[in-house]
Amino acid sequence: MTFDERIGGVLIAPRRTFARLAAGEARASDVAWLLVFRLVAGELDRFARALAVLREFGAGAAAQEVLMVSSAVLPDIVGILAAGVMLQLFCKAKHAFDVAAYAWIPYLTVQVVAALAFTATRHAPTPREQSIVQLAGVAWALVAWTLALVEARKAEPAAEAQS
Amino acid sequence: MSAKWVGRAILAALALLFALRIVQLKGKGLLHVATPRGSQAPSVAGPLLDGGRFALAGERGHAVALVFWAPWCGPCRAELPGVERVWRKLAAAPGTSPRARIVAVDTEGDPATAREAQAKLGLTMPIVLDDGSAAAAYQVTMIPQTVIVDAGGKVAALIRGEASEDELMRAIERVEKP
Repeated sequence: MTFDERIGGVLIAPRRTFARLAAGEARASDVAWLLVFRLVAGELDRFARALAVLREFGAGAAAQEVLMVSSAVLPDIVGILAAGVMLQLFCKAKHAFDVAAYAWIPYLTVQVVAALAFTATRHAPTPREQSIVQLAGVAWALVAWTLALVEARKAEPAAEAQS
Repeated sequence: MSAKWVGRAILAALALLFALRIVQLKGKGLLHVATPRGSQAPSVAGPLLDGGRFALAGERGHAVALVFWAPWCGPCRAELPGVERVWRKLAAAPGTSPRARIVAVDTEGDPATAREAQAKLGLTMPIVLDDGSAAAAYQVTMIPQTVIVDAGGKVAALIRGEASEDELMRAIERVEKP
């Protein structure tokens, strides 16, 4: 599977994709790249501001801004790590941790689509709208994580038999 | 629809989001700092919480540190007691002119919440209630933020985020003795 097939597959054919990922096609770098893209695309205004401040007032003034920008993806990273640790607890498959990381892709999709809609319509989301987007993303990610668990457990005996 | 095309659509959505943000940033003028070092400091004028008015234009001859904050902002509330101590160190003896002045600019502009924070944090330094114009002129996109204006009314330094007592004092001293 290619990079885009792995991402798209998690969204439209999750069982089949998670089965192949658990069989050894998972790449930890996929989610790392997506995290970088999400940070750049989603927090560009803060990055631009930090760069402008860096040019005018030096690194000290820009450092705080850069720290705040980086912390924007902290909940995503914590979520990915927690999903990986939990999956590893329930399943001893070799690639369990990497497979769990893909369950974050539905959450990212909801976030990106919502951000795109809000940005295109120049609408500042209300706290209620933000909560709905968060909930929808987390719910879809939980469903994906459950499917990842099921497929990783199925892959476990196969891997044991091979070894 | 194949998985490949859905994956590509997600990547395209990220790229589109990036492009839209660039266009909007250009429109807002946020790709440049409105108040670069050495530029004339925009006007800050407004009512003081304890009565009277403050005008930055009337503060020539000494440095002025404008500390942008809001009563609901946790890091601001953590920073302000240190700012207060620096303000007390810099306060002039009666009848003499101050070395430098510190003014807390409340970006919310609500006297009730400002008074609550003032009492809770034991602040005696001047607090200006901003109607949003000073925060907009200085492009205050995050608080706390401190802008130090030199004796000639020009922007001399900027501290983004929470400043420690030492950091603030050093920044003011650098502006006093360039």
